[in-house]
Amino acid sequence: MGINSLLSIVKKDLKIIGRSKFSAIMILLTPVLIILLAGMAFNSSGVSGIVLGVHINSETNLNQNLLNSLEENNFVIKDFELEKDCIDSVKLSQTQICVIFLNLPNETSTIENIQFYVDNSRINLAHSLVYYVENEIDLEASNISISHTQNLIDVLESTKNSLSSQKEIISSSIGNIEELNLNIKEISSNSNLTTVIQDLVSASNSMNESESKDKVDEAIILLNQIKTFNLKNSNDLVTQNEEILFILDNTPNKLDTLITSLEKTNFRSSEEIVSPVNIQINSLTSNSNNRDYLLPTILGLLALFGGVLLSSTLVLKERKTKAFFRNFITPTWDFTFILSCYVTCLIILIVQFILIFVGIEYLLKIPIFDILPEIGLILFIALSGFTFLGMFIGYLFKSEETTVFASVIISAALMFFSNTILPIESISSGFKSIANFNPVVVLDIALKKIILFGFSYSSILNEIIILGIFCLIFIVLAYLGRKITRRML
Amino acid sequence: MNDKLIEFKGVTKSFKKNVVLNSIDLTIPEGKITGIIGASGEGKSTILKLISSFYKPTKGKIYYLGRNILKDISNISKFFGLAIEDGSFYEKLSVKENIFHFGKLYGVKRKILKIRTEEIIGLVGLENAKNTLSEELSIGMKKRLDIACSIIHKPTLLILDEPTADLDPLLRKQIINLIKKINSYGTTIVLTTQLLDEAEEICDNIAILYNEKIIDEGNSKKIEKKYGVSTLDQVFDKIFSKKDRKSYQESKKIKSKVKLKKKKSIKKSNLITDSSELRKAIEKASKSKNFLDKKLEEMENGN
Repeated sequence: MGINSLLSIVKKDLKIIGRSKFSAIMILLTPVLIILLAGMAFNSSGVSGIVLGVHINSETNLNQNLLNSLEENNFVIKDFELEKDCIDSVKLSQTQICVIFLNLPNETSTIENIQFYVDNSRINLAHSLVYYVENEIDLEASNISISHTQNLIDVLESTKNSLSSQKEIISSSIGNIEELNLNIKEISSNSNLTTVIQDLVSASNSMNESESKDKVDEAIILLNQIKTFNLKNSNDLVTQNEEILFILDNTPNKLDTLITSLEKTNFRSSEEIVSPVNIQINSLTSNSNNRDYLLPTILGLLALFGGVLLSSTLVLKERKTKAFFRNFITPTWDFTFILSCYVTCLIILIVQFILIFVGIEYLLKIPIFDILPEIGLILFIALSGFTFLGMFIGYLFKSEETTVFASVIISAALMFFSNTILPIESISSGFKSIANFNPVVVLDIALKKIILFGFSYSSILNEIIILGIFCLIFIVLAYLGRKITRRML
Repeated sequence: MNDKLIEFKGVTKSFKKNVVLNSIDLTIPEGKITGIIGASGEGKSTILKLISSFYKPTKGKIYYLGRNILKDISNISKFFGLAIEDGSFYEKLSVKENIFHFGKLYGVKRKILKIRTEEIIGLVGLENAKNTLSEELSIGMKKRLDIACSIIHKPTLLILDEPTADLDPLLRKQIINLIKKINSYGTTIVLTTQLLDEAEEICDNIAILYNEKIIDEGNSKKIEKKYGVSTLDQVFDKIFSKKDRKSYQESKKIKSKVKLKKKKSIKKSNLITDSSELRKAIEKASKSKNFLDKKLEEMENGN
């Protein structure tokens, strides 16, 4: 009797839904339209059409280059004369980000001062915007740095070469100074002058007192003075030269050290100095389209809302029909009614998803039929769970308004504590540990594994088990819901 | 024939503090038509819902051929058919689809069901409307469809809640004839009604519900004889004696208040928005009121 009753109820439900043609079309086609619209809308990579508010203190080649570069990357630039207007434009959603160039590098100054103003309430967008704009500015700044650094490298290279030649000059200078010292010492010995003085003294001694003798004596004195002066000066010169020699003797070693140090720096290019670390962010998938990234999430949400809303509405409609009383008194098990409602929902949802898959495969050109067994299995388990959850809600509430409201609220809560709006990593650790077991999160992870990374059953085993457990919990809840509320007409 | 197809033993039913039935004993004999009569709000429908186990008794026990209904309802319910005042079928299914569907739920085999569906459609006179959606049927047709859905599995006991309410005299006659016809096939029938002449016409056995209790039970002639009158109408006059009138009115007022409060809190979302539904509700209310007004007026006039 169970299976006959079940089939009869399913047939009846499908007939009733089918007789409201508009509702039937809406139920089947709305998800397909959603997926197609989303597919077309997100058929792009990165972000585009971002309006960038800009306030510039003084125009320079640099900021013009920056702005040109941003414009080339699909940013729409909007100039503001006042800094305040630029900031307000973000608040008024006229622009998505405001960039203020306060102190750009010029001939006399090399200090950059670029300020960003973003609306942090749009957390995910704010991060991406700063990331994109910063990237563009970094690129320009890096070009400037490379040019400056190249100049430095060139100067260092020429210095190194110059030092080597200077070392040779110094070595030859040391020889010259040593030779000079010898000459000075020879001069300082004054042997000729001493002979002349001695001759003059002898001559003076042999002369009588006369005017001539006086002149000779004066000459002797003068020559002695010259001799003393020469001796002193040549000693000074020798001392100074020796000091210079001492310094020059050490200089080639110091120059050698400098040259060695310069050789050790060994910079081949300015890029090496500006960006010594090469960062490369690689995508784990060959896809680079927003639509592809979004597909698992959209499928997950369609399963959630489709399952919960359809089953809760179906349960409530059944409870609100005149026939509910007769159903109650027929010898049909409660579980037969629950199972038949589940089967009806599942048939509708399967038809929905077949249409969705056909749309994805042929209209969006994403090869989803290749992964149909894996995706079908995980969606089947998830849809079962969401259907039983919706049935539980349907049994719990009495009016259509509260049922739809509760279904939407519960679905929205499940969606909110998933990666759909914000990454779950952004919520507090306590909630995060619970959110990790959110069936929407689990389904999303499994769908991403299958669609984006091409994993097979073995890799989604954990997700299958978790969703299976949820499914069992919701079956029990749906059964209890019906048992408790069956007498509440 | 068993004299005690259904037996109520000391059954009390209360909704929170509001006692609707107070320790009632009632017997429904097999093969007969039993009518439960009483004013609106006395608990007639509650008795039927207790038989069908939709409500559980607060106290006491109900038996079907000596088996406790509540303990064995999964096996007993297939012997019952029930048609409630508002009808219990799918508006979006046709007459034939409704009967067939409920036949399936009652476990009737497909082959038998096909034949029986046609038979029952003929029995209730809906041959020309068998493929019509139920929502498009007239009130009388809906009543017949509801009865058809209730007898598709050939129940031993057919429970009818106000089967002739809201019907014009012609339709009422048709339904009464249908009930008699079904009974003639051996089906025991228990029904509720506020129309005393109707009860007198079709019921073999009558139970009078008054002030939470079954105050009299048996053949209408026997009851009339007991009160020394010749019609059930006159029996009611006796019951609504001047002595009891005041306390009855007071108890009714309290009950009405409780019911109104309960209805307001539960059915806020089910406000009547359709004009035909509103007319139906007004007619129903005025009929109940007329019945009581008539009785009170007659008592005040000293009849």
